[in-house]
Amino acid sequence: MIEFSNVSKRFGQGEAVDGVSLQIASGELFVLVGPSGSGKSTLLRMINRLVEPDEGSVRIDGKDVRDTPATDLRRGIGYAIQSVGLFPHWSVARNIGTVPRLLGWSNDRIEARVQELMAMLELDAGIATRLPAELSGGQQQRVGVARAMAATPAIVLMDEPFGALDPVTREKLQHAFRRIHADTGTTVVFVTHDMDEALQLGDRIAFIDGGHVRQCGTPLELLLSPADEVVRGFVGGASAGLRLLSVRKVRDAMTPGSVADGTPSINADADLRQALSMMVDSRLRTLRVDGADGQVISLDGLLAPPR
Amino acid sequence: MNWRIALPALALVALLLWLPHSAPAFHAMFPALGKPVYLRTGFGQLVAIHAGIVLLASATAVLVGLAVAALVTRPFAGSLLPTANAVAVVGQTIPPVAVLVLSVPLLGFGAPPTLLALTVYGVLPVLGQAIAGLRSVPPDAIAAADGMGYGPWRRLKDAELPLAVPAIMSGVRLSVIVAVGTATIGSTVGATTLGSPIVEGLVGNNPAYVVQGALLVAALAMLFDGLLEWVERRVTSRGR
Ligand SMILES: Nc1ncnc2c1ncn2[C@@H]1O[C@H](COP(=O)(O)OP(=O)(O)O)[C@@H](O)[C@H]1O
Ligand SMILES: [Mg+2]
Repeated sequence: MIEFSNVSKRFGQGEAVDGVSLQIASGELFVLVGPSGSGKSTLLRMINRLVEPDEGSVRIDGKDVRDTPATDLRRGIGYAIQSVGLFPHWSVARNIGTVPRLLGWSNDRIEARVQELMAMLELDAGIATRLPAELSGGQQQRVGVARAMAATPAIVLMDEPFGALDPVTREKLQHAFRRIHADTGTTVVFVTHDMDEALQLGDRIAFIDGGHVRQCGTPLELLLSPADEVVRGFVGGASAGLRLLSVRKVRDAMTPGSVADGTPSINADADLRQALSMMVDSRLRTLRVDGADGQVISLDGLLAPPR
Repeated sequence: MNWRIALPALALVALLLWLPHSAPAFHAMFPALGKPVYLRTGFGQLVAIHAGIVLLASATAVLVGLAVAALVTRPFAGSLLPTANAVAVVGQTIPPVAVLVLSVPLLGFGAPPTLLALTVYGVLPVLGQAIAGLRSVPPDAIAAADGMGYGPWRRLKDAELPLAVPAIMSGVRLSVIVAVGTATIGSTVGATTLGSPIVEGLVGNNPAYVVQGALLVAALAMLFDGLLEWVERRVTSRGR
């Protein structure tokens, strides 16, 4: 568990982080979302001591991060950033193996781990010997994520890792990352200024504004009961309804029922936004649910209050 | 086959083999000269001493230049950076012969003042280029290195210096090539180098000596340049 207790940080005049308390559970994918300059990166960087708080403390599993030497602490925590920061003079494989090498792993073990990570991030094994400049932006970012996860850290920090990617590539990486997180059980703290990304990825979300936590909760909680007008403004707007659909699964809104033979079907783990899209596309109010006999998803189901 | 090494090496060997027997050729070129081939010291010995002085001075200069550049680019020593930069830039505008003349009172005549002058003068391009190279390291790479748990020393060794290698190597090449040329004027303060036939030829009105020394200096300079280019390529492709 990562625990912020009343932490503050000043840079010159302004308070970048002001009396923040947060608890992040082990295995959680926790998102810090908020406008640019709100203090998200500063909070994140307190976890691996790239920033030291002026007041308060950050604890990992009960132990103050200041009690561990900074380099040891950082080798145990993955870190991925928007600009990626791959070493341009090292091959993909060597970049991914950076932290294991710092930790003194054997070459065989590093090589095996690099191959495993490249497969996990859907990177073609043939690019292992390429230099970062020879990769696409999406590939570089995948390498950056692989590098952050290389030494199987219990915690991974990600600072707008997909921020510089085009929407299609970004969505692919979000999906891949969600799956990897589910498979590995790593605690992830993820910074983004993009509310859709936060809603799509987060188990829980902390909305940061002006160095404060305005609200902390599940995506559904933020959407259904924003704590104040600022949060409402950020989660709401024209696409509020679609966002609400996108954070709920077909599985959570399906009802017993039957449909005519030949009706298209949708996966129970698809989100309701995809279900709505399929209904509009096929001009049907009710769809069959894959692998759930006797269950359907209907327009009424989409409109019913979340349960 | 690396022609940038092989050709100057062949030229050097050919010159060393041919020059002792070149009296007829130089006599034909300069009929007025009684002794058309430099004999005071063997050409092979001159080349060896010359190369030795250059290597010793350049190796020292590279180490000193890199160490100072690495030091002044650390955050805690930031106040020294402008001074170091100014020394590197302004220093190179001072002619090497001035440095040579200034070292004579310190070390007397012969090889020592030449070594000192070459070293001092050779530090400057390395220092200037290494500072430029270290400062141009992408901040992202540094941020990533810090975030992954690199200590300051390891970060310098694994990330900053390798990324600065192209700039550093251009400084090293410049430094060595200038040293090959400058070592010749060491002969004016009594060092035995490939400058000896040149200086004696100029003083004694013997153009054949000048040509013999100059040919060997040129071949040696090209050989060093080819070797350094090869080193540069080896070093930059190391991390693959
Ligand atoms: N190293 C620093 N020096 C000075 N000011 C900083 C530094 N880091 C962050 N700040 C300031 O602190 C505030 C919060 O920054 P940051 O945590 O980077 O915000 P976010 O990641 O939410 O965009 C901003 O006003 C920023 O300018
Ligand atoms: Mg930020």
